[in-house]
Amino acid sequence: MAGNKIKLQSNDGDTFDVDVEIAKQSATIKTMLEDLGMSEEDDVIPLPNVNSAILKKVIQWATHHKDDPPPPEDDENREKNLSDISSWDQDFLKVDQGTLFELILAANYLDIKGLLDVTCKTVANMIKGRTPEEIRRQFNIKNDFTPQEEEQIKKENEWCEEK
Amino acid sequence: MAHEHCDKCFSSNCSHTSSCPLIFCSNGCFARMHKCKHQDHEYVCPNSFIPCLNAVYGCPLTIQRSHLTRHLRVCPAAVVVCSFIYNHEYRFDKLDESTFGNLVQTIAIRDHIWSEHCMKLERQREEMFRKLRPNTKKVEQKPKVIRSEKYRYITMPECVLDRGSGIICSTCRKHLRDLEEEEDQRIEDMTEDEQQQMIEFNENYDESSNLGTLPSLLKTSLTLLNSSDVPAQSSSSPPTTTDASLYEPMPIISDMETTSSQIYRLRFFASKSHSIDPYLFNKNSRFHCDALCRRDEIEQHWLVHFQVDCILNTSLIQQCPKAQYGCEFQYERLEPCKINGESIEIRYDVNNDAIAFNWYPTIVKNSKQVAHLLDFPTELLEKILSHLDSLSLRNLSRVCQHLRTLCEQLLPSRGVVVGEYQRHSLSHGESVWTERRKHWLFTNTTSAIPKWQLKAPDKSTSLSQHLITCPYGEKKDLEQEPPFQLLGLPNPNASK
Repeated sequence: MAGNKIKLQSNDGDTFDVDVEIAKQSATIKTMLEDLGMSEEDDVIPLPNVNSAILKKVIQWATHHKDDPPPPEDDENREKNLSDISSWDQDFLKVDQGTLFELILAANYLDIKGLLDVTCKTVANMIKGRTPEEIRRQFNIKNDFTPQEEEQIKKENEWCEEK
Repeated sequence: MAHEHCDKCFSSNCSHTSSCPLIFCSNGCFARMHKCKHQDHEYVCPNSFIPCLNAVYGCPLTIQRSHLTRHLRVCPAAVVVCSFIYNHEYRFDKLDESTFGNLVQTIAIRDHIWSEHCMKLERQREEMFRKLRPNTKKVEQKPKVIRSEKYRYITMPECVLDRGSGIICSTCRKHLRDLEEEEDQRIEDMTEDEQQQMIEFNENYDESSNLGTLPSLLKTSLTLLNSSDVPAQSSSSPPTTTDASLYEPMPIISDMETTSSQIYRLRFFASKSHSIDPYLFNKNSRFHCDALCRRDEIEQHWLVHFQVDCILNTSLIQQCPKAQYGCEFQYERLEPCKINGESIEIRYDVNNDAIAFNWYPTIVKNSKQVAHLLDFPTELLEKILSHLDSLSLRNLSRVCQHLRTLCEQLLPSRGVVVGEYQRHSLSHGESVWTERRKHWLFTNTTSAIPKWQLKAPDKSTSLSQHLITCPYGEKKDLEQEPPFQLLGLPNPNASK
C-alpha cells in the first residue's frame, strides 16, 4: 500500500506522481479516493483550481509533513499558537505575496488544514501591529472611506447599539 | 406541581404505576424524570438554551447551559478593567532618540498629557461645584414642612415627589410614620416645659416661622432628613427643567465623559495630536491604566505591562551604576527576540494609545500580483483574522469598507461591549443612571511577545566603555590608603 502512487493533474496539464499517503493529507483527495471509489493505479485526478507551480509547492509541503500527527480539532487556543511556525515552514513560505495567496487558495480548495493554518498565520503576521496605512500599502488596498467617514472612524472606532 | 409520589421519586426506572409516566428530557441530555417535573428540569438541564449571564450587559448570545462556563471566558460583556498603577522613575529626556525608537519618551509624554488633562477636568469640576453649592444651600434653608395627622407638632421637611401631583414621597411618609409610632413614649420622657413648648408651637405655627426656634424634637426629625442632602422644593408649582438644573449639583453627564472611562481616553488620543514641553514632565505622578480588556486578553495585557512598564526602570533601561550619584548615562538594553527569523519592532501606536509590536515576516514583494487579499472568500479572511490580536483588528477595521464589515461581524466573538450610562436627575434631588446605548469595540490590547533578548552593545551604548570615562566614578589610590585594622586586635604598627 505504501508504495502506491496516484497522478495529480494541474490546470495547465502537467501531471505529478504522488504517494497516496502524501496525497491523502488533502481531505478533498482523500474523499475522492475513498468515497468515489476511484481506482488508484491508472486514473488521473484533475485539479482544475491549481496550477503547476503551486501544486509543486503543495506536494513539497505535504511530503515534508507526511509523518505529522493530525492537527488538533479545537479552536480554543487560537491565540496561544500564534507564533509557532516551524523553521522549515518559515523557509518554505519565503515566497512572494502572490504565491502565498495562491497557496492559501490551493490549501483551501484541497482542504489541507496544516498548510492552510500556517499560511494564514503568515498573512496574519503581515497585519499584526501595523497601522491602517501600512496594511493598505502591504496588500495594495484602496481606502474607500470618505474623508468624513475616516475622520469619524478614527475618532470613535466603535459600533453603537442604541437602546 | 408534582404529584405526591413524584415529589420524592428520583429513580430513573421507577415502576410506580399510579403516577405520571417517565419521560426522557426533550433536549437530549439523557435525564429521565416524571413528566410533571419536566418544567423544573428545564432550569437545570445542561442542554437547554439560555441567554448568557451577561445578557443585561449586552452579550447577545443564547447558548446551551453546559457551554456557559467556557463562554464566560470569551464573553464580550465580561469586560475586565485593568487596575495597573505605575509611575516613571527614569529620566526620559536624556534618552537618545535615534537608538530608542522614542518608545520610552512617547509613553512618558502620553502619560503626562493625560494626567494634565485629568487635572484640568478635575479643576473644572471643582469650579462647577463651587458655583452650584450656594444654590443648593439657599434652597435648603427654608424647607417647607409637612405635619403628622396624629400629632400636629411632628413635622418634617416636605420632600414631595413633585411631579405635579403633590404626592408625599414614600421616604417622608415612612419617616413620619416611624416618628408617630414612638411618639407616645417620647412625650412621656419629656419635661413639662418641653411639652408646653410643643403645644404652643403647634398652635402658633405658620409657614414663615423661623426654623431656629423650633422645638428640639422637630429639629431632630429635620436633621434626619437633611442628612441625606435632599433639597426640598416647593410643591405648589410643577418643576420646570430650569428648576431642576438649579438644584442639580452637576449637569447631566454620561459615564463615558469621565476620565476613568477608557472609551473617553481612546477618543481623546485619537481625535487630535497633543504636544507638550518635555521639561514640564511631572515625575511624581501616578498613572492609572484603566484599560478595558476581554477576559481572555487580560493575561496578555498584564504581560505587556510587566515587560514594558515594570522592567522599564531595571531591565529595559540600563542605567549607569553611578546613577545614584547623578550620572545620567543610560541605554535601552533589551529588544524583542526574533521569532522564527522574523524580527519584531516595538512601536508606540499613538492613535490607539497602546504599545504595538510590528512583525516583519520575510515576504518577497512582486509587482505582478494575481490574487488580491480582498478577493478571498469570507471564511478564509475570517480564518486569517482569527489569528490577530484586538489591536490589529482595531486597525484593520479602519482600512476599508469591506474589512470593516468583516470586523463588525467578529465583534461578538472578539470585541467587547460596554454600556454607556447617563445621569438623570429627579426633581426632588435624587438622580438615577439609565443606560443610553451600548458601545461595541475592539480593545487596544496587543498580544505580548514571547521573548526578549539583550541588545548587542555598540560603542555608544557599552556600559564598560562608559565606566572608564564616567565622571562620577571615584578613583582611589590604594597605595596611599591606610591599611585595614581589625577590631579587637592590637595594632601591629602601634606595638612596634
